[in-house]
Amino acid sequence: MSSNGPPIQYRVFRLPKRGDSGDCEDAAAVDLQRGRFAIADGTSESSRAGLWAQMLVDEFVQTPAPQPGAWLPAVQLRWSKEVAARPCDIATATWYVETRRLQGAFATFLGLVVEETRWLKRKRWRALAIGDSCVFQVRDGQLRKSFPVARSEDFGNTPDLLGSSSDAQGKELKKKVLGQKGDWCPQDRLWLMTDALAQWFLREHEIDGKPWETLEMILRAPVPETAFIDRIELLRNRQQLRNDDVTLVAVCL
Amino acid sequence: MPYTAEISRTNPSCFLFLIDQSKSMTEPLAGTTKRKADALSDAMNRLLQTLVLRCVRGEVVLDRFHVGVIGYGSQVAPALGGNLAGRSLVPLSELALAPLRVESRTRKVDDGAGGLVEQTIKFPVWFEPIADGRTPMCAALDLAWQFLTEFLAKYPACYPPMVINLTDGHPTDGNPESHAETVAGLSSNDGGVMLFNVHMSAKVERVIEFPDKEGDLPDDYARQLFRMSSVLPTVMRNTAQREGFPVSETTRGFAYNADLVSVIRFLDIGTRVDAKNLR
Repeated sequence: MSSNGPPIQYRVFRLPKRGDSGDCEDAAAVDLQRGRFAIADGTSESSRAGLWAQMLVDEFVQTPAPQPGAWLPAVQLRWSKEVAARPCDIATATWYVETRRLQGAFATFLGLVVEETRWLKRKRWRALAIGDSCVFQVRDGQLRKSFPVARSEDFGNTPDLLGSSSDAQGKELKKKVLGQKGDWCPQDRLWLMTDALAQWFLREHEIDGKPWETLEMILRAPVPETAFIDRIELLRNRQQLRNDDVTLVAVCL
Repeated sequence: MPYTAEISRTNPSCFLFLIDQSKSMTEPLAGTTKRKADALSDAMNRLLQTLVLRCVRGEVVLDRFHVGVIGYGSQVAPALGGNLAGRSLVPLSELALAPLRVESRTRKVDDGAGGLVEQTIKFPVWFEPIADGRTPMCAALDLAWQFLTEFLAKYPACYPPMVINLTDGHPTDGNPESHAETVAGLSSNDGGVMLFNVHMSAKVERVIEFPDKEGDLPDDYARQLFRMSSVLPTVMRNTAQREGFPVSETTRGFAYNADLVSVIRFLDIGTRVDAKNLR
């Protein structure tokens, strides 16, 4: 993207859920040149969900057209060639590993495009979401936009998902994809986060808190990665944050 | 608050199914030519498969649940076979590895390019249809009480066990109501055991699913089974609502004159737990 102002900065934080294998099935990717940011949350009940989540975000930040209809089939094809077609010893593979492999992987997805058109001097962002990974826009200490979930109580157990098998997708894709757009100014923050942290963020905001100030403190800490882990662990200990994989991308405009 | 306990390998919950295997299960299920016993064993095998798949992580099955099946007909006994014969409640990973056999079935799926390709899927079978003898439901409930008492002694803080009784007729060994009360009277620190009842019919009659008032039911037996059924916890009530059932805070886990579709749907709703509880 073209920009005359100070460069956009970002930071990515991830932490797996407690007590599991230590694998994080969330993924994040950024292409600053293109102004693309993406997060995805692989469902742990599906096969190799973390890899699928990573393939989705990697494709999104590199592909010319952001709409999933334009790039999803290519990722699904790559998945079927590189992952699903992996040699599998049918004789020894358990029925459930085999069934899971056929069912494929599933993930929620949030993609963000930050643009500045020089000739119109307009600063715009566009986001698209499938499921409950979220983006929040904060300006001058106020939450301006919350997408695609607006209230903490709206996080359910069955978010919409992108599947690795075209069979699982059917013709439902268009219905699942939600879009949002807005303007941005220098100093704005766009916070991308997966569901557990997003739910905490909205709940705090609903009781007149300013959760972004907590996140700002992490960014300003001497070692932000450590500050992030400490904060997440603290919120989990206080049972303010569900034990789940957490991904946070801070886009500092 | 009840029904909030973590469900994990260290604090598992359990599903216990009571399956009517009496002679009358040879009759066809309402609206089909399939024997009730065959339809039920097919539904149970699918359900056990689903329960395992919900807990697969990578190549490992997490023992979040223990599963048991009690058959009642010519005898009242644990009904899983093969290596699991005689076992009361089996950790999910053991269940996953010990079906009686794994059948290969083919289905057609979208090939992603507008066509269809044939895909072979594996279908594990744990449970064979049996239909012989009378309907000793009271004895089955007593055996369930015994299995659950042992489980609760071992996991006193567990998410409350879920018991589903599937039958096609009246008990032949007495009034089941007090036996059911004893089972539903058991509890963990997280709440009472849930007992749900599904009555299957050979005749095409009005199916009653997830009722919330005893007075709306057509006969004494339906009213008795209603009283023997627990109120649905929130997660199941919400799932039932999403499936289009009108629900209220007093909706119970009960189906009457169920056909095949309603049996399968009931088993799906009646085994739902909130993903927030899973670890």
